[in-house]
Amino acid sequence: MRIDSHKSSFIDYSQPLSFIFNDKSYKGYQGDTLASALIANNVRFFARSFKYGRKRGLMGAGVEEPNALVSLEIGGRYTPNMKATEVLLYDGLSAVSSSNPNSFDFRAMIKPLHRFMPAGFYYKTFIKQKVWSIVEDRLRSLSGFSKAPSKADEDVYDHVFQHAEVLVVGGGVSGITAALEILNLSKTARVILVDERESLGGELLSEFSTDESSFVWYEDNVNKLLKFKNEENSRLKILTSSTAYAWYDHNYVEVLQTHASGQSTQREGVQSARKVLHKIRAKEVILATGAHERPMLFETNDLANIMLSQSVRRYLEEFGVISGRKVILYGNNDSIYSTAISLNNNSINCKVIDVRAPGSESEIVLKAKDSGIDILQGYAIRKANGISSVKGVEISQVENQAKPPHWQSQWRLTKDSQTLECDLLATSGGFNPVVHLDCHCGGKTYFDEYSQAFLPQKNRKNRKVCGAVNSVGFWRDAILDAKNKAQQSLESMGEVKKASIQQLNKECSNYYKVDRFFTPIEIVNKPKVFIDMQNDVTTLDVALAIREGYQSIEHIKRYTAMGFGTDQGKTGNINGIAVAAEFLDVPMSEVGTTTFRPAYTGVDFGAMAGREVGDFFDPQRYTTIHNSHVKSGAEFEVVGQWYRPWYYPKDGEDMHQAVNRECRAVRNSLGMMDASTLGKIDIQGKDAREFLS
Amino acid sequence: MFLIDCPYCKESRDQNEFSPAGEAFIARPQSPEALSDEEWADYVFYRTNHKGDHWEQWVHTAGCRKYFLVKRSTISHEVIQVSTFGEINSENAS
Repeated sequence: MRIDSHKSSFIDYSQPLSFIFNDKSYKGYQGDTLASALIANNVRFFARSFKYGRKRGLMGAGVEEPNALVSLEIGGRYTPNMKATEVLLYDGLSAVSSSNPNSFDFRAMIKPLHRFMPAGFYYKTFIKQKVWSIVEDRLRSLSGFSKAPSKADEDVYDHVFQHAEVLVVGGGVSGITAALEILNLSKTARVILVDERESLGGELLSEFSTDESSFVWYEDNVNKLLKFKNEENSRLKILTSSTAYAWYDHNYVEVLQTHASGQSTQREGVQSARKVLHKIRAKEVILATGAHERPMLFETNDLANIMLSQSVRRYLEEFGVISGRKVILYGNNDSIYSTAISLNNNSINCKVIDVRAPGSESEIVLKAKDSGIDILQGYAIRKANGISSVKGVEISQVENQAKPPHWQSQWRLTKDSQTLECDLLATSGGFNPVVHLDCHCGGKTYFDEYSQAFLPQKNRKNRKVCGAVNSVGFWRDAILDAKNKAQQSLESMGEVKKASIQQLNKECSNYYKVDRFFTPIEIVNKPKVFIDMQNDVTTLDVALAIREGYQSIEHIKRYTAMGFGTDQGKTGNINGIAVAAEFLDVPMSEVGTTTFRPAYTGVDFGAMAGREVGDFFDPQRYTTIHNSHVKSGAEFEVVGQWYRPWYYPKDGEDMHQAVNRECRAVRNSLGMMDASTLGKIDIQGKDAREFLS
Repeated sequence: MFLIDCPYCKESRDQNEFSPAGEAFIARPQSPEALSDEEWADYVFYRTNHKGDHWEQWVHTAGCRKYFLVKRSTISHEVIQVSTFGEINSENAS
């Protein structure tokens, strides 16, 4: 629902839009995403899950969303498997779920059997019976995401080559700061700033209403950027709605820019490109890609209206919508408190459940306490109650918090539990730095105990990381970090002699004060504790993979399908690694991550092909007598781009009949073959060069 | 996608313009007929597949069409040095 008291400055309430989702029409506003508009219309279910057909709702608010897959439009503009969180609303949009949550579903009907269908069930069962080839088609049609397109794409896509001294990936606080620092300190360096969202600012936009100074900083710095951009011979390019999805050798980065989600790109008879693929070569790359929140694990954690804490906050602050009235926040870090304060400011009833024991509270926790928010410390959620969407939670007290290094299996919950009611549950299990891009061409990660995250390799040539991806989470610290890294980039380009580095305080890198991974054995041993929502992978699937002898995380991933699909495990993977570490009884650093490969998000085939489609796909080479072949009704065969006559059908002959007739003609009278395409011309003699030129 | 400096064109160009031409400094035997099958196979087929800095030959196919030498790290793909034939040979290559 929309919150009447909180008018978002990013939504244009004077421009109502109407759209259709799963054959029902709804209203939204300019500035909404499909996801936020559906929340405003109290739509709870977005799709069914891949394997078990469970009804799923939204979990995230951006690129990390695993559940809300939709396909847009029909016919030549049909686009499958879009994340509803990334589709900007336009008038007349029509979308359907990848798998309709409101219709009959065979997978959901066999619910009692789900417990007998762990990872590998279909292959094990049917391959042994030697019936795989018979059942494969039917099984595959049951599962999966959106249907494939059936018509040729009617849109056009462009490719653009770009060159810059510095490429900044990520337009949040760190990215804005780094870009400005380079532009200010260098007279010549060209900068490209890339961000996946429509407007710059990243997560800072959610801070505006609670922290006045963040808004002042944002206005000030974005104006400075725009000044650089609007200069004559501007050195700055800002690419918004653009995702840097792949990084190849020698700082070659590919960026996909979206101009339009699904609406027609025809304007007054001119068709503009729907998407543009920018091929960027830069001397230095500064990564300010931020971090994704990861969820907490508990039984039936996949019910609708169980979301990520910062996503709930973003929907509230940026879009002015929320999907519940009685909210429980649950987590192991301070992120839930910032969401709680936002909710409280909008007088939405909320309660915080923190797995950390009381004592050593940070500033924001004390602030939440002061504002009268109901807080339970040292409690954990065992289970979410509800049939398809969350109705309440069962909580128990946490005891026995062990100290590292042997923290695994040391969490314990008390036996007795109590029940709390809620209609929206927001969780936060910490943050996963977006290291994907850095790892595409050889970067390694390491597990940092202090920030409880896999961080990008410290030093790499011509690449710097700053901000949340470097585990510097608070925006004021991120500004310092970004300035430092911009200075270092300038130093390595020889623009400044010696980088001036400002010391960050140690505290800042434990951002949101993340506590250890919370994986008590009472929870991970339950069924239906989902790790990967998109592929229906549970903790018990991971346990099974390990029991069957798969020890490496790469093997566990492939056995269970954890981290597959269109979201590539952006929310689930690191939790999966924590659970694997738990069952293997080794530290997370030893388990490591799976390999990050391009592309970071889905890339349209059309965008890869660009303009090289249809007549422009391949040159067509004709012989001088091509027209006479055409007149004689030849069918052509393409031989090394040459169009060579294949056969000349007469009166509805097929190929064999025509060839037989032609063979007979050659035997009985005469035939002619144009083999000039195979010929070479040899020019000899002392005036050969003169002849040719 | 590498950036390679062509020592003839004196320009840094995209890998698209070049073609690799194998390991450098493999001398053709003086008298091939005197070699055993193993020695001949070694000359024709077997390469060091070195991990680390590696001298190799490239040709600027879509440019000057000349062959030249590149020293490239096979781990990081960093191009460390480029050279024309003659400047560097199997004796003075490092």
